Formats: sequence, C-alpha cells, structure tokens
Amino acid sequence: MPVAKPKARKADVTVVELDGEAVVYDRRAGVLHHLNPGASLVFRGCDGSSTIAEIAADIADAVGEPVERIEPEVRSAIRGLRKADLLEPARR
Amino acid sequence: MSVVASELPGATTPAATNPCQERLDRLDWVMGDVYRAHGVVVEVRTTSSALGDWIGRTLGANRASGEPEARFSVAVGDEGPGSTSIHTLYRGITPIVRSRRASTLARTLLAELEAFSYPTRDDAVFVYGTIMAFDDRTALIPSYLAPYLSRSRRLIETSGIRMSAGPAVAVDARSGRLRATRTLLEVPPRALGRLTSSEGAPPEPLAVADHPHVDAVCWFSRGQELPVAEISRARALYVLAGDTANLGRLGGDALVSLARLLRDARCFEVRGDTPRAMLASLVDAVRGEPERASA
Repeated sequence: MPVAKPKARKADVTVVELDGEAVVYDRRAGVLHHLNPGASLVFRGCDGSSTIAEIAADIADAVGEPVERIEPEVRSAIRGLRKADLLEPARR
Repeated sequence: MSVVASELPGATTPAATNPCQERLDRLDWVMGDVYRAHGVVVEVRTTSSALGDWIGRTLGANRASGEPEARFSVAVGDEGPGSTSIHTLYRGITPIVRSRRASTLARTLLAELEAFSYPTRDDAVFVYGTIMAFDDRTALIPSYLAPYLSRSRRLIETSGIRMSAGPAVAVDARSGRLRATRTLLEVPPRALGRLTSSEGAPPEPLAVADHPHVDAVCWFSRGQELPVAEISRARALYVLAGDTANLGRLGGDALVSLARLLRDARCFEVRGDTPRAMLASLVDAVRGEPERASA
C-alpha cells in the first residue's frame, strides 16, 4: 500500500495567512475556512512530497514538541482538511 | 488542531410577522411607488408628502411595475417648524435608521437601493458594515448591528459617536482602505443636496471617505462568555469575508484586500446584550480600556 503524501489543493483556493493562522476561500464551493495555527502549519506542510510522518516531524521540530505527541494531531488535522475538500484526492 | 468552515451567509431579512406588519401598514401612507434598483423591484412608501415628492423626483427614472421583492417604508413624524420628531426608515418591517433629519433617511434609502448592485460589482470590496467613529478612532461594525446600537441615543451623544449610512462600506481593492461608494443608480445630480439645503444644516451621517483607516473591527458573536473579546486578525478576516457582498464575484482577491484593511486593526467580537451594554463594551474595547475588553 503506497504511503500517503497529502497535497494541498491549489485550484480555486486562495489562502491568506495572518499571524500564523490562515483563512482559506474555496471559490469552487463558495466556502470560507479559518485554520488555527496548528491546522495552518499542517496545510502548509501538505506539499504532495512529504508523508504524514514527515510533516509531523517537521512540525515537531518547529514547535519543539515530541513527534509522538504531534503526529496524532497532524493526522486529525489532515482528516479535517480532507473533509473540507482542501486536499487533492488521495492517489490510489 | 481544527478546521472551521461555514457556508457564506445569504441575505438575512427577518420574516414578517403579522402584528408588526399590520402596525406599520396602519400608518398614514400618502405616497407609494414601485422602482427597479439594479434589477430588483422595490416598493418605496412614505407618510410625508414633501419627502414623497422628493422620492418621486429622485427615483423617477427607475420607476417600474411588477410585484415588489423588497419594501422600504419612510415614516416621517411631525415636520412642522421646531419639530423634534424622530423619523424612521424600515426595510421590510425592520427599522434600519431613526433620525430627526429626513435627509438622513433619504441618504440611507439611496444607499440601500445602491446595495442591490454590490454582489455583482468589482470596483471595490463591499462589506456589510458600518463605520463608527469617536475620539479620533474608527471602528467597523456589522451594519445589521448599527440600528440596534443606535437605540442607545444618550451614550451615542455623550461619546460623540457618529455612524455611516447604508448597509455596506466600500474597501479599495488595491490599498485595502475604505473609500466612498460610486453610485450607479440613476438619480439626478445633487438630489440629496436639495433635501439637506431645505433642512438648513450640514449632512448628518459620517462620510466613509473621511475615515479610510480602520483602528478596530468589532463583529458580533453568539455564545461567548465575555461582553467583548479580542480575536485574531485571521478570525476577523474570516467573519468579514463572510459578510462581503461580492466575495463570490471577486474570489480570493477580496480576501487579500480585506487582509490589508485589517493590517493595523485590533479585532473584537462582542456578545449580545442591551444596546447600551453592547455599545459601552465596544467603546471601551476600541479605546483600549481593559476592564471590559479581554484577550
């Protein structure tokens, strides 16, 4: 089974970052999203070339927390981003 | 870590309830006509012959027929010399402005009609907000809150608060500064001037173009514990964008412009309370007095 490398959606999406938080406008759906600092970090990390474990490791490094504590939160945030249709569909 | 999403809010016109509608309908309407404003068929009626004449002359080029989709009612009190009667403009059954000056109602009426064009325009970002100015400070509040807060007339007078007219403000897309709204509705030049000159006093509402910079953004929040709470600029951007008439038209560019508007602004959410309590909380927060405003 291939390892998931989540990728933030770019088409029809505008992201404005302010003080570590982000506001995302999905023009296709006509929906606004407010991402808190943690979700913003995860969203930024979803570059399509990093695995979830790698994204978690990068964030853990940046915030100085153990990766074991960060990774479940990253997975939860990715589930939220996917539910909000802000990630490209997972490749099969 | 969380993602918060919301559908863009649509127009929020309270449903008419029979007793309010009936009370309003029982007033002595001396003039009523139907106009088309930016594609929307609107009925305008008033209890004043003089104001009715002015409306007829001013909106004459927009006269139309058909079933109105919206109604504005201008209830004018005693117009005699020295009168201190309060006049009221209603959108549907909702009083949207009360003033001793008929010209303030007329100005607001024109702004309301102009606002029908905002969702399809791209010459500015149109936010459903009102400018509130006092102590050399400028705050942006939701326009639906302005009539409610205006009930606290004494606090408004003692604090020297002035508010802009109309349901929305224009934000310059490039600079993110507030600016005057360009009027596209076909009305005679200087129509408002004729009305204000007959009242013998300068125009009353605050001119948005004189306050291009916003010191604070204060939006309404349900269910928060504190009377007023400081929020992040991102949160403020999120709520402002949700109350932007032409977000769908402008897309993400509107978001970028609004972020510029918020560049130096402190941002708050205020909870529902009496008009006086809400206004006092807002004034304290914008002044930076910490006893009411909590981060």
